[in-house]
Amino acid sequence: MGDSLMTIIAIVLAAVLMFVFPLMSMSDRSDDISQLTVKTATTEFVDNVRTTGRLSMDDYAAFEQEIAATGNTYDIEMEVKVLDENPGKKTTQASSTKIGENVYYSMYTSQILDTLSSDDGTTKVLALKEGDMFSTSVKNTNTTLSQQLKNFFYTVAGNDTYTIAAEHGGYVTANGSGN
Amino acid sequence: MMKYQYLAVVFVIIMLPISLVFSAYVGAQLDTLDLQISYDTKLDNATYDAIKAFQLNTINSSTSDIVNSKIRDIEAAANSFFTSIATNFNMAGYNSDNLKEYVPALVFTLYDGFYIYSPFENTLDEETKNHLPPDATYTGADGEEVTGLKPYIYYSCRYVKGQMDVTITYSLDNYITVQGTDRNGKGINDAGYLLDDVTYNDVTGEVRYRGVNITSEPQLREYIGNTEYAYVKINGVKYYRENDNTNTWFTITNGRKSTVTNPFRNEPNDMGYRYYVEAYEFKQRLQSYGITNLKSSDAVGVEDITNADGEVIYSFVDSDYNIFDFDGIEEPDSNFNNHRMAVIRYVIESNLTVALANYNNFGTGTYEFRMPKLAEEDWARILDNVCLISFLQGVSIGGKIYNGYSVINNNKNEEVVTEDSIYIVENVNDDNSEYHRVTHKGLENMVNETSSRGVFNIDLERKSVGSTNSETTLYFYPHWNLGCYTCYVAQTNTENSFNNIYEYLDGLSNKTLTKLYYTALGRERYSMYKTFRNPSEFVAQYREVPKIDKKILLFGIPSHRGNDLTQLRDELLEKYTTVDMITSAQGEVSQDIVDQVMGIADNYDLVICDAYVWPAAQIANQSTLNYNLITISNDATTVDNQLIESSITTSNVYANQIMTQPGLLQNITINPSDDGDGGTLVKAKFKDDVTVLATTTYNDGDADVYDAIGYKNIGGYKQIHSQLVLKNNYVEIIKLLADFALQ
Repeated sequence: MGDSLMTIIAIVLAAVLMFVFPLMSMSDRSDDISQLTVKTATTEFVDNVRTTGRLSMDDYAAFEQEIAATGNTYDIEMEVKVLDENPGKKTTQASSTKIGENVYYSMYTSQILDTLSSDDGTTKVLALKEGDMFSTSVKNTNTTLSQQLKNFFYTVAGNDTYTIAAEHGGYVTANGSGN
Repeated sequence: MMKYQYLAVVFVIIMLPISLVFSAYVGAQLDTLDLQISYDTKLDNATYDAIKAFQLNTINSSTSDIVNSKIRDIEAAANSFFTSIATNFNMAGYNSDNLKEYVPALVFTLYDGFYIYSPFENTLDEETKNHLPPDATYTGADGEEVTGLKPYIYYSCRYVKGQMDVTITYSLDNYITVQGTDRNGKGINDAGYLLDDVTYNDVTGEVRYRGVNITSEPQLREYIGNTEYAYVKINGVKYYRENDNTNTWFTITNGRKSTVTNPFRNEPNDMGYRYYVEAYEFKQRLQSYGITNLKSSDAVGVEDITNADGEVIYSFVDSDYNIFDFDGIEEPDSNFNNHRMAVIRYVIESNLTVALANYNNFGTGTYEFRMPKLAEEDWARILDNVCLISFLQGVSIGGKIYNGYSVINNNKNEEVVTEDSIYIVENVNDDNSEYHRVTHKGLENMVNETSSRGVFNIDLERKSVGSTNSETTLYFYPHWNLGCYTCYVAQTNTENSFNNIYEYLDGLSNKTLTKLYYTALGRERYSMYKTFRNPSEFVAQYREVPKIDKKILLFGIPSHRGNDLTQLRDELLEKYTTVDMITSAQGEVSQDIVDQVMGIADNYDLVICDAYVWPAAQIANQSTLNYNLITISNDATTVDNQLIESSITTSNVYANQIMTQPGLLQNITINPSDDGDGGTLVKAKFKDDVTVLATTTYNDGDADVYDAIGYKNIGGYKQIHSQLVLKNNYVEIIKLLADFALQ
């Protein structure tokens, strides 16, 4: 009796070690690779927008497609901090020995996408100017295999946590034009 | 039987190291790529810092486009690059000197050429050393490795066709410089802007560009601190008028105000107008040289342009077309622009490859430096505007050696005026009005010709000037207008369904905006510093000509037979110090007035008499003349015994046709304009020693040619008489005669 119990435990243990352990290890690597792809793509996407001053629907779609190719779904959050020099100008006029303060206001993903897509199906461009800031952060929204396995075994990751994430941002370095 | 658990343990013992090694390997790769990305970003940031430094320095110095100060600004930018990159890399244990070894070149692409900042071997042999002045501070040794700017390389290309052998230097816009020999083997050295569709009427002076009439603009004004000054920008330098009542001008050099000794003319700004006139004339000249027939295959010493995958994207020979096909030449997709960009790209690529390969002679490491293939989008940026290309190679990043580059361009600088550099201020007289991008939706109905104006984008940037009495720095905006929220701050309300700006502007039904924009674009381009011009001669054109110290007395009946004495006086006053006028109404010329004129006439250098015939006769026939005299009268019988040989008096005829007008008056239209108002007309023949300036016939069937205008030197003075009443070009003709008399 005791022997057969041991046998069952041994089989289960063997199955876990022989099957689940490599699976976990491989799915972890797979996430790493996805992470790498996403990070590279995000940096490239953001740097391209920063240096050209233009964000087009084509660029965005290409970026989306590139990260989707990792087999996961992602939540892309973009933010444009639009530089408003006008208040600074007023300050400088009032006291010319003082450098004016700049004000930024933000546009977020939904507003940016609204600007990019138009009703007639033509793609549009969001033109930024020198001094604006653009940043993008990407997180996976599905539960990857590695997350599922980890959740199954030691439930460290909740449902809304992510393992693949990348963010990049910076100053826009050139005035973009909308046409 | 081996137990299951043993089997599993064996399996794990085998798998665990594999898994560990694999995981470590992937981890290392990830780290490497992470590091690569972070290096890319650091390089981008340092490059941006450098180009920003260049931008700030050029915006704040009006002399920064002149070669030696440009070198200073670029060296400052290179220093910011190394400082910035050292700051960014400090965490990784590199300092600026270490990093210099990994930066084979910085390339500053400018308006008509580029600089490469890279190390080179200093050459200072004994021979040269002996020629250095004794107080020379230069300390470099022969053979020493120095990092600095290499000579400027122009975007030029040589073309050979028949006898024609020219080198054309391109720029970031439609400006070219042509040097060499033309189709007849004659030397050429010329430069100008290429524009299609400019018409110019050299008689009326009317210029049309793309159907829009381009005229002078009102004088430009901008703020320094809190004071608004009228200014004119000539050859890259702005000259401000101290205030509206005096004619003293100043400029800002090295951040300080400095007075200009020779004042400028205070007049409307015609830079935009001149831009189009010169472009028109340049086109004619290019046609006469035969340059307009050049084809891309005539280019010598260039090779096809290939992209990173080795595909040919521009072939000089296969895509054989007319480079200077003027049809839409300024539009982005014209033959000219494609060719221009191919030449610029070829020149940069070939020179840079050599510079990077040469770097191997200097580097201490084992890494072989080579030119990376730049991506197409990077080339697009390089060809678009002033740009800094930086290279960072040979840094170890774990698994591999980093080999990266960064391209940052800048479109707010003094170097080039692109189509995007012009903003439209709605009302220049109102500091609260906004400035807009040209593509702002509906802008064409918001502007008007008198108060709206096109402005160069760097004039909307903050500038600084040192105050004269203290060490403080004043910051100011040359224009106080605010940026429009829907087209400048954020471009949410702009028109963008067109291929290029020209197409958009031509399509507008209201042409006011089109005119404002083209005028401003022309003005700003024409005001740029150009190496081709002789700077002092060019600036001298705009200087105020000092008034000539001569006194003129104008005596006559205003509006008598179409004369315009008031305008004549005003125009003479622009050139001569004193012009006094004595007038008498029609029919009221009295002996008293004539006596008064004759009494004071000796005080003047020139007396102009356009009253009736008898006063003219009295003045002209005095025994001695102590002044130059111009008389205008259609009745010569008694006018002038000195000049008139014989005359025939007739009634109700009038001068019919001008037969000759040699010398002085040859370029002006003199109409035979006496329409015979019932008075007595006199046909005259001048004496033999009178130089005749115009002859005429009369309308009474007499085929003889009579003298009309002539002069004679009497006792050191010129006595000039016009037998014709001048109804056309009165002011111009009398001015010419006056200048001639007072020479």
